[in-house]
Amino acid sequence: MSTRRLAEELARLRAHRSSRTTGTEDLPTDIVEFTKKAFDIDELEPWQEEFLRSESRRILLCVHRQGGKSSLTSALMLYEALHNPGSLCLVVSVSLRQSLEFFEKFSAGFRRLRGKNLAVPEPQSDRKLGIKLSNGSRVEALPGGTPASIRGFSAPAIVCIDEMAQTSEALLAAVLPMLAVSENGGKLYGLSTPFGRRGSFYRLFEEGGPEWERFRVPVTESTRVSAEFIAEARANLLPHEFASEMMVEFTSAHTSLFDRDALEDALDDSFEPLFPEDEAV
Amino acid sequence: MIYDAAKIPSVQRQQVTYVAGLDLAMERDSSALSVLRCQKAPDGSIRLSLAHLDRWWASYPETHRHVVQTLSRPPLPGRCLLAVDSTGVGLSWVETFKLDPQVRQLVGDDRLVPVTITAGRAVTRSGQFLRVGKHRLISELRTALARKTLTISKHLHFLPELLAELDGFEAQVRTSGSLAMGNNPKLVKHDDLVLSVAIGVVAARVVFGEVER
Repeated sequence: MSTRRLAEELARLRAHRSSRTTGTEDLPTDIVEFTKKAFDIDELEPWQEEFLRSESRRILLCVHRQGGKSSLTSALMLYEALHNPGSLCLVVSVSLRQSLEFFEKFSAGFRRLRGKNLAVPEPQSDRKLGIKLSNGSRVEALPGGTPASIRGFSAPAIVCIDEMAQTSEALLAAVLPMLAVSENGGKLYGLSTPFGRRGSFYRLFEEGGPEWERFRVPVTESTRVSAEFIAEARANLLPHEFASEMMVEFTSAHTSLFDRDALEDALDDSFEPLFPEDEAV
Repeated sequence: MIYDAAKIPSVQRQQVTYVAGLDLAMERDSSALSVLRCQKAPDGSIRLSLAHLDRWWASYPETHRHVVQTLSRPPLPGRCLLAVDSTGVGLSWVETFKLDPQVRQLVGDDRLVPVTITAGRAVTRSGQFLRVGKHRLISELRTALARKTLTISKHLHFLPELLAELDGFEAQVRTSGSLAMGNNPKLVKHDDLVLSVAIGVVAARVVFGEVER
């Protein structure tokens, strides 16, 4: 076979591969309908629909435990991967175990869609912490314990930092520059329950600029968690744990030896540093 | 013995307007230097203001040069006490540092205080050395913040890093039941800025007679 014929054959195979899907029905284009199908959910809570439909490119999701943070962001990444061929989505978690857990949610949604006779691209490589689809899209789950090790990805469409309150500032510093050349700056989601009044999640939630859209959902606003369960949690958890895990309040971290309020009180704008010329560097 | 008889309580206090705390780099850490401005309040207590904060990654000889360079900058010469973490390898650094004639000129014998961080809780003096339990070291810093006797300039370049280190500084109960204090590595990689400020705070309070040993 000549080189020209080989090249033509290769192009034909590539075209065939990129159009290979498991079913025939069109995927829902509405993100809410898409999420309901992928995760077998009948009804979403109002804030969940609002979050899914948000067009903000920087979102902080401060939601009570079991509030659906991971499932919703998995749905957004799945939607991106299936509807935008060649896209890259990243999820960074605080540990390998949590990366696996998050990616399992994503994979479950993907498998569910494949089982519904929908036109879902087939996986080219399906690993424990990542997948590449026949349409060229990739989703990678990365353990973020060592921020330096996650550098190297560029122009992702979506980056999601899971349990962001428990990650280091260095992780955000490693992640944000990845979006520098993404289309329209890409999308960055930080999802977490609070972990004291510290870290990038707290800082951005309290002091971040207007580019950040914030969702704060205590368990008492959930339609899926019963009043009985909330009463049980209130009775059995320590007050600061209930406040943090269920009511999503940024309480002073009980493990930190330095009280955030005392630190903020200590800051003084009125005196100049010893060497002012050094501080501007 | 390189160090003169203990002079810490008898340092001529009127000559000390600044106290610098130096935390020396260990294997993976950076070195950090903080400078506190000391002022007497009307009630006689000492008010400390964190007016300089620096951090760098360098060899010990380069650190030597960097510290001398900082201490040479006005208004520090002759008015600054330098407290240096001399735990472990820090001691040999301090000994070399003290032999430098420029250091003698800038700081003087009685204003270079090696601080050994111990596992205990007390502040004791051994020769010119201060021996400070880590619990006590951190406790002094916490107390200074809680009593508002320590203020921090908002204009410091390394302020965000210091606040992150303070936020991530935790106490953890070991399996043996003892309490360990240090940075939570999940949240923050270093604690050198915190330790440099804490060393400075303890040394200042000892010099001005505010710490019961």
